[in-house]
Amino acid sequence: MKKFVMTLVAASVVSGGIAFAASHGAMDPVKMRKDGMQTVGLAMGQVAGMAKGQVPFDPKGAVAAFKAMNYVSGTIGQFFPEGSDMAADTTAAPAIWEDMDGFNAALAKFQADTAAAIEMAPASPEDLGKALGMVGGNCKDCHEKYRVKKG
Amino acid sequence: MKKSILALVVLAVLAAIVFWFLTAPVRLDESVTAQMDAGDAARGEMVFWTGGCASCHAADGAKGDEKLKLGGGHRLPTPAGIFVAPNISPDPETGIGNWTGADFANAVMKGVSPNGSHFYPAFPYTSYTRMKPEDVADLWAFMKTLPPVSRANEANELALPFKLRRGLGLWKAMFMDSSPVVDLQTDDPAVLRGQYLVEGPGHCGECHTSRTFFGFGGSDRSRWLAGGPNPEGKGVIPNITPDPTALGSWSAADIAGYLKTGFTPEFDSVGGSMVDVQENMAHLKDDDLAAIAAYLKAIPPVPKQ
Ligand code: HEC
Ligand code: HEC
Ligand code: HEC
Repeated sequence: MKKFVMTLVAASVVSGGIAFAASHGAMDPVKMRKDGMQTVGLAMGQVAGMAKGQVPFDPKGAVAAFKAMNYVSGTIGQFFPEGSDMAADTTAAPAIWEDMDGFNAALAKFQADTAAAIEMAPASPEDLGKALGMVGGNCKDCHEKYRVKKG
Repeated sequence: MKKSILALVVLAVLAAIVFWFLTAPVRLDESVTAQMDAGDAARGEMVFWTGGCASCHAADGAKGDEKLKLGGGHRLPTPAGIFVAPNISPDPETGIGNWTGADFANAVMKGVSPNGSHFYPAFPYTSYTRMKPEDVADLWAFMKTLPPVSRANEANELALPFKLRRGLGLWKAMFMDSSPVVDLQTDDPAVLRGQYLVEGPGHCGECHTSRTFFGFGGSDRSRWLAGGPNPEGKGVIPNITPDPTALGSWSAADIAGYLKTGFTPEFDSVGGSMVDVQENMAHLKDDDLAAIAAYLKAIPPVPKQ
């Protein structure tokens, strides 16, 4: 089980990494940022499962998951070119381009909070719960302002 | 000729009288308002979170205890103009500190102010009208325990025809309907409790159901909770019926979990104006969240338009 979790997190980091690395080529920025966010969601699911005891606690796996989130938070900013809120399959809100400074600040905070969670290296499910509390609020704070369902 | 003019005048007078009666505010019965001073504040706190009063009446972006400071000021853009939520803290000068329990119940359940004018349905009394009087009494007991905030109300910014409150009586006569929305044909207590919470205090339909009459009317009951354009302008409000194109793939536990934690089963997180709603819902007891989920699985599925 432990191994499985590690593999999954590692795989998601790697696939996220490859996706990001290819970014300067002809990759579609909307797909890039959505892949990045899905990696974040996957990593979040891993740590939340551990904190709730649904998945065995694995300190290395937890740190790997926070690293995945940290990596995305530091690189995803480049995939929001002007006008890409108009793409058919994006939920990125026009508010991002109306308030790019605010959006970048939210990304910076997400990056800082995930860095702190890595630093903390939670040694028990309780500590992991605390780290999760620190990181988890970033999701809805940003999605509240900068994301909109388009049906 | 004379006769026809006379007939016209008579008709106009009659129409004015009918209009006056049709638009007259309807208040609650004494038997209901008499119970308003016997509420329980602890139970009222749960009603407060279910009703989401803080989403409009607390300051924008308020978190934690700040949500209990109901000084108003949140702006609600609608097709009729911008509404500014008033101060409903117990401050006697700028809030509702001088109101009686009966005043409060008439505002929440009938949309009628203490001086007898109509409130605009931007205040979702169109849903709150389905609340049980004992819940409103508990809510009132809780409201009186909240900190007074001194903050003067701002005027609404409405286009002219909508400035006339009296006309709202007509709107209410046409669109306000306190009957249950869905005929569920069940006696499952969880589903029925969920129906009460969603259709009444939770006022989920105010966002998740499109309106008739180009957005000016009442909820479109034929597309109940099937989502629609976001009245705040951008994007859409999702369909939350159990249709395969909507929440069909979510289990009841997934829905209850989303309301409690703000995360979907795929660990996507809640966004937009639902964030505030979810943070209110997180205060509810687990069995009430399960009841809401059971109801959302029991209502008729409505396909995407
Ligand atoms: C700084 C802003 C920001 C933060 C912080 C953030 N997100 Fe996102 N997220 C977005 C935006 C913008 C989108 C929409 C991307 C698009 O559709 O183009 C999104 C989309 C998503 C998606 C959907 C991806 C898809 O395939 O459509 C998931 C899942 C997601 N986020 C999960 C999370 C989780 C979990 C967290 C917290 C751990 C988080 N996000 C934190 C901005 C953010
Ligand atoms: C969607 C936003 C919204 C929500 C949610 C909401 N209100 Fe209001 N409320 C308003 C608006 C807007 C007005 C002013 C309407 C008008 O000008 O006619 C108002 C008016 C009122 C008034 C009249 C105040 C006065 O000074 O005349 C009371 C009392 C009140 N609301 C109580 C509540 C309670 C209690 C709840 C929760 C159960 C609640 N509201 C939830 C928007 C909201
Ligand atoms: C103020 C408007 C508003 C109210 C009131 C509201 N919602 Fe929502 N709801 C939204 C929006 C906007 C979204 C889309 C959230 C997003 O972009 O992540 C949403 C999303 C949802 C979702 C997730 C749907 C999906 O496909 O992701 C569920 C479930 C839900 N709401 C249930 C409820 C329930 C139950 C209530 C009543 C207790 C309620 N909502 C009241 C605006 C509202």
